[in-house]
Amino acid sequence: MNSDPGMESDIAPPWGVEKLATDRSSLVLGPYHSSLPGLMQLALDLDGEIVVSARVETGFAHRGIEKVFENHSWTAGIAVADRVDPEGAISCELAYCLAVERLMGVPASPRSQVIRTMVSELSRISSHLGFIARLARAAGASTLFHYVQRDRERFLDLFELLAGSRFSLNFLRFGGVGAEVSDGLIERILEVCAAMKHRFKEYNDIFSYNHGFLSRATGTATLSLEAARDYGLTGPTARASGFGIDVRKWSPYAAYGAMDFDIPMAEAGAGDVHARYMIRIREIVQSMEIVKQCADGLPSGSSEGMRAVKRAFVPKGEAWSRVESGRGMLSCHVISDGGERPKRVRFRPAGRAALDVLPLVLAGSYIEDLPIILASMDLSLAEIDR
Amino acid sequence: MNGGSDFGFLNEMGRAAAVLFVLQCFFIIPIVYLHGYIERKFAGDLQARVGPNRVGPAGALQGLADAIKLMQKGRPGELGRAEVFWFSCQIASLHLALAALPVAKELLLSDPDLGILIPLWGFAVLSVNAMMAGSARGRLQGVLFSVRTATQATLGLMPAVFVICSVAVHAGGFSWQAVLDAQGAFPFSWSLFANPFLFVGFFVFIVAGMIILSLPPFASSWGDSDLQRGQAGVAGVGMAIMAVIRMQGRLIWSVMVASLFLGGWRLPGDSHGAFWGLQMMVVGVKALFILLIISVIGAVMPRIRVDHVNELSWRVLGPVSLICLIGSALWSAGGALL
Repeated sequence: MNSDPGMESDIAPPWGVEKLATDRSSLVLGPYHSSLPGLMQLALDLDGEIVVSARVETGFAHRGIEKVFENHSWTAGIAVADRVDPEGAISCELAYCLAVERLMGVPASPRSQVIRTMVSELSRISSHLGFIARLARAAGASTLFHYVQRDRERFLDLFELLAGSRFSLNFLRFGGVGAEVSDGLIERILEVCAAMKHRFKEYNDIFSYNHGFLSRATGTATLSLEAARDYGLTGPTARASGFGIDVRKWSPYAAYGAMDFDIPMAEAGAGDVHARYMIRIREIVQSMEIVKQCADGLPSGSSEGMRAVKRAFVPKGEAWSRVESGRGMLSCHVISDGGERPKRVRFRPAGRAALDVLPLVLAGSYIEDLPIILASMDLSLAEIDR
Repeated sequence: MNGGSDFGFLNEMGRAAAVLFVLQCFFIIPIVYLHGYIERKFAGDLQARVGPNRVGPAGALQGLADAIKLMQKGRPGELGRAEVFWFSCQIASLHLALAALPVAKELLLSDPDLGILIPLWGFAVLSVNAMMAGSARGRLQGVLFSVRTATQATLGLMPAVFVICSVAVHAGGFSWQAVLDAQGAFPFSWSLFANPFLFVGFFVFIVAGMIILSLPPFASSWGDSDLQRGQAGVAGVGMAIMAVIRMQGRLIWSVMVASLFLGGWRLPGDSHGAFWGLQMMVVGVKALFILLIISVIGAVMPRIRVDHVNELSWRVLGPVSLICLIGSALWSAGGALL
């Protein structure tokens, strides 16, 4: 424990007679720590159990993913994109494919557009369930943690049926998707979604409206609408603060333009841990509705695209795309020199802004709430460090 | 010592050692082990997972495997002098509580006029020792752990004492003998149903115990996230010792609940003269029941922050337990007048 006797507390006593001077202490967590969302370092200045300020250091999980793209063919880049954010692999694939398709001038077929939309929503559900599981674990709700993990397994099973793997799907292809979607699989997807709807009562009974969780999560680490906007936050974390930005509505891609759906939004002034949790519950419901619409309106035709093309050549130029991943807006910038490999591929993950706003969110919080705050920010160090 | 039995050739110290040995071997360790196994199986079932199922028949030897694994972890002598000292104090304080624990009439080493408060004293020492052991680690996590442990225990003890006094007022004495004499073998004659204030007091006492012992969901000091289970720097043997101490503390509290509210060792007929092993079994079953209830609450509820726990103790449990005390006293006085 380090302390600085010369530093006085900023917290003035309410009675105003004598200022209670307490030494501050500093605590450095990480890069390996059970309460952190991944490999990162968090240096905290504490006044008792209250966090006065926080500094974040990242880079421990840097794998040089963007450099790896430059050493592989355009097609192999789809599998590399999976590794940017393993939990939201399909969003990374989609952002990359959209940018490359824009360069090549190869539009995806209507059927593959709908399949992409459906798989993206399944990925969003899986990502949000992962969020709930992490938050439950951080809050000490071990029963809900296991319930959510059980339910998430069903969605990972669907990915396995669809693409042969559970996380790194490598499912999309330029202009299409990597495998045909059978009627049996569609039926199975709808079954899983229907079963999932009944789970929310369990979640709400044992966790969402549990007094213990409510008292901890309500009003904790509140992020204002202005702060969310100023820091460039996107996704459910921003929408929990009332900042309603969603690429699916704002700049529709795949088949989102044809879907009828609303974006769940918290009231302005919410933005606390509970709001960030509830917005994801509501988004799961909305995503299941989109999946149902996709299943009902799946057009016939081919979804093959450039499935058989092993070595694609992309015309010289650059393109940019953006998609709404489970964590927010994910954009991809691709530069081609006309060869068989990308010259440069760059991702802009949603988690970066969430990480930048972390010191603001943590200031004034109890150190005991640190795990649930970090879990509520839905950080993925894999995509941030890349 | 007024246990009432005469072991003849053993002096007082020898008798105490023999009783503690019997309690450890035939009561504490079997029930702690059994509870650990049932709790894990039950929690597994509750949480849609399998639970222990590999080691021994139906995973019954999992606890043993865990103990062996912990013993092999870490370097010999990794515990600092301060930790060894405070761990020794914790073990001593637990045995102090055991000496005044009404497991069976023959095994009650000490039952003075204020006998029902002695185990509480053991818990107070336990909390102080946990606090000192945390501070001795020289890390901020240890300091926070010790402060949380101390505040929780201090604030949890207050309602617990009031509830014990409520039972004592009803029973007409503060000795275990008086408390157990006031109860019978069957539920309708237990203190739990003696009056509505004691019925409420029963739940207050259980919650207060969970707070004092920092059990989930009140395990803010032992939470495995921010403080890394409060035992940063302690692993292997040290962790095993801490786990065993906590389990024993939990069992001792459950025995207190069983004796204060659920009739303790009372059996149909002349239970005071019954075989001590039978009395021990009755108390053990009741304590195991209480332990399982505590475990279920801990498995289902999310963890509660330490300031909320303290608020619960100070603003809810404290006043409610005081009302229980006053109400129980008035109820008893009214009964005596009528």
